[in-house]
Amino acid sequence: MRRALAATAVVAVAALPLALTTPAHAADDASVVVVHGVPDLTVDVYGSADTTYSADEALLEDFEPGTVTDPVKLPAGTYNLAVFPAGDDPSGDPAIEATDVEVPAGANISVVAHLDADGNPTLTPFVNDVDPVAAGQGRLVVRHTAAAPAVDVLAGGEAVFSGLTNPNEDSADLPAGTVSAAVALAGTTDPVIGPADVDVAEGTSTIVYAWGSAEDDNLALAVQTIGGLHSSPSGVPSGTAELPADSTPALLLGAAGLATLAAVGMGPRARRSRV
Amino acid sequence: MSGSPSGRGWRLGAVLAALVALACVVTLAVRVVTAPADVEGDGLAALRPATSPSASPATSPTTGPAPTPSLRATARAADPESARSGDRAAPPVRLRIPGLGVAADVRPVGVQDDGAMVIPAAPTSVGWYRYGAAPATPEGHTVIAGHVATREDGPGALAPLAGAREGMRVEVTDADGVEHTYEVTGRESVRKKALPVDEIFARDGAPRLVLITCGGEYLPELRAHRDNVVVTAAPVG
Repeated sequence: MRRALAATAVVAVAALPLALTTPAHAADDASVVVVHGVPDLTVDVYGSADTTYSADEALLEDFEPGTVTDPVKLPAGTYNLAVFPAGDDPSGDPAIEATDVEVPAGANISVVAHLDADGNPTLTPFVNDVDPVAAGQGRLVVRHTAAAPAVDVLAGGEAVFSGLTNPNEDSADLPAGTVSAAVALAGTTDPVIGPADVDVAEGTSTIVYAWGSAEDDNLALAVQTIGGLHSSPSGVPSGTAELPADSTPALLLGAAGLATLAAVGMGPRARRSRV
Repeated sequence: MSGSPSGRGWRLGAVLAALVALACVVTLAVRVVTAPADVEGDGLAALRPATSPSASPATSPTTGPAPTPSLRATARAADPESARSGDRAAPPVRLRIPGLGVAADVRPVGVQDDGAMVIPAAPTSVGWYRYGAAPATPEGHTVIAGHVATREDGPGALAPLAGAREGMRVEVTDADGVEHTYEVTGRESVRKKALPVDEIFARDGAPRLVLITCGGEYLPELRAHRDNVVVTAAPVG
């Protein structure tokens, strides 16, 4: 069940000289969602090609904790992202900054403003798995973005993901339906978050963020969904027996034969009795 | 001179018998000529996405290093409660094709363990693929399938589909009591192995009704038919 953590780790800093010189086409735009998981801090988010930020580079204003943006299409490139307390002058020092965030062409990325395990605000880009799921299934992704130690994720009281640490993720494809999800400290079953009903919709990736701070007792869940990952059923097995054969043609053929025989039989008699 | 009464009787009998034989042969011939072909109307063509020569939107390429994002994002609450998917379109509950004498209850179905669509066992019921479009969904194909026949119950509700003709009316009632009317645009028999599932189960594109049963040669060793009979219908009115 454990999925590679590599995808979650900071995609940043990787050199991308080619992307910077290649023309970007709209079809190759990356899809980026911003998730706010820093408690008690309403913020403005800026994105820039350099490390100075100006008012016209605001991506989001008055962004509240526990909210998620709609997907924004961004041309591939390398970006610097900065988070300022709402209304602050963006020419000052940002509250959180992530430099050289690589946004590859066509990628689907969630940038999460959250607390690290020690409670310091940080920005983590996650690359979302948008591979199709099997017909009838949905994908459940859980991301640890809270100031808390390792956790287990429980569904229906049983641990489905174990030992998840900040800022990592785990995922599984499940039959579509509602999952009663709870988060407990690793190795325990006493929920620190939830249980909460999470809708694992068919053909959709449902990404659940555990955010907040264990110390401040404000742990919570935030949910992001990515639809359109559905597959078609493999076939339509709509018949387990032969349709009873249509007997009309056989009857017609039989009748024609009998009538012909009768005609042939009667013909000579008719001729003979004429004499 | 003129034949005896008994001779006339024999002659009349012979002529009548010959006429009966002729009538039987003509009826057979008419049945053969008018038997449903493998493809009627547009067949499955209506399900194929319209392909335009330049599908990609005309956009001016962005050049130069690291473009500055100028897009504004909108945020929304993300707690599990508000993230739950909203109201879905009402499921279909009743299917009628007056021209074929088809009348069946429709039940929502999903997929079997092997990934194939579930088909209700009862021959009077047909299944609606609940993960796809419903009749009131603005986009995508509403897929309804039923057994042509089962060992236990004989012919199924959709057995007459093989005789569907272009222009026939199809009525689907949904759980809200709304009646959706369609007109058959095509019918096609397709080898099961070649069934274009992605076109049939498409969740985007113009709204269409797709009715599926089995047909073609019966393969006893597989307890299955060789083909699927697929009928496409477009909404009217």
